[in-house]
Amino acid sequence: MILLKNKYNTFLFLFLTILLGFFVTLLYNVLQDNVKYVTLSMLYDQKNELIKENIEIDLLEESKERLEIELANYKDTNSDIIIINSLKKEINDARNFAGLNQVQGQGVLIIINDSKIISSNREASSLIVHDFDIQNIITDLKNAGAEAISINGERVVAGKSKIKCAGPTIQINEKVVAQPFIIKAIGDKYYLEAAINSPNGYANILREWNIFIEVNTSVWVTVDMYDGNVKFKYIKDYEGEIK
Amino acid sequence: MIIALIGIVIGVVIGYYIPYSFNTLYSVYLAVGILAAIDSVLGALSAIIKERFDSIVFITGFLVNFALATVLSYIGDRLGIPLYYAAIFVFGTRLFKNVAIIRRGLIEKIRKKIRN
Repeated sequence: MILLKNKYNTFLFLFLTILLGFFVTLLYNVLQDNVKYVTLSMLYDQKNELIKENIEIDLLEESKERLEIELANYKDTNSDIIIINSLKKEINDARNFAGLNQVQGQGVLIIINDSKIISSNREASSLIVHDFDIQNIITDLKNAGAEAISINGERVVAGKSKIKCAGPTIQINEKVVAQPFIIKAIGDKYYLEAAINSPNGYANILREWNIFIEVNTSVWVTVDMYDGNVKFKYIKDYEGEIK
Repeated sequence: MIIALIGIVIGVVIGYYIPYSFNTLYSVYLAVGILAAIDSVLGALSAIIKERFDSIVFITGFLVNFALATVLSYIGDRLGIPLYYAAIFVFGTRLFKNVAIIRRGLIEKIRKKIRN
């Protein structure tokens, strides 16, 4: 039983079993480091993840450089005027962000009007534009990268804007506005146009209800500033270490 | 039978002392290949028991099965279908069948010896 009848066969058999034992040990050695085997799709996902993380690192480094330059500007300069100008610029940026400045830029002009087609089998309330319709349109625009939005001259700001139902009209901030609603938005005009015209957008649902929506792109849209009350009643400054 | 064990032990020793390693990514392919190799060796053992051993059949079976199982699992990974299941099913079933043949053959031989 130890040897086969043919010497040649014996060596062949020995050789191939050695090969088998060798492979088994090889695999055992490779899997020793507690490494799970990775499928190609997992590898692909992780590669994508890595690319994303690298992009984020690049962006953070860019902003770090920018801030360092700003800091160096503050440190180097002895002149008050430069410091004042730089602080003024910062205040202006903050006011832009808060919506307290009148701003201009490329964007879109959207006109929304109640449905003119009256049919007997539909409720009257389904024909008019509601506050949530406007809200959803605003959300679509914000998702498409709108930087400033106003409705009939009333600026939509992050902090204190309200969009409220007021019968057949809508209350925006503190003013009651009636149709037609003219929404002005500053941002990439093609993106904003696509946000309204896309088949998945909320505007498409409104169009199915025969509500009139028109988008016009413009290279120069002027959006009014927020002119309501800017005082907060409940917010207090955070006491303690700021992150 | 014993020669197979001797061969495997020598192989393990060689593999233990050769500091060669490869990407873990390919370990699954080698694992399926090893399954095919084990099947071939067991098939050869059962052929020896039945006294129908053919070296050409053995060596071609070993190499072709090993290569096919490896390539199949690689292609499956590329296409997104776990094709190595095919290799696992086929070789797994045959492995048990061959072990059964070897077992019966050995039992018969031992019985003959006892009778004589």
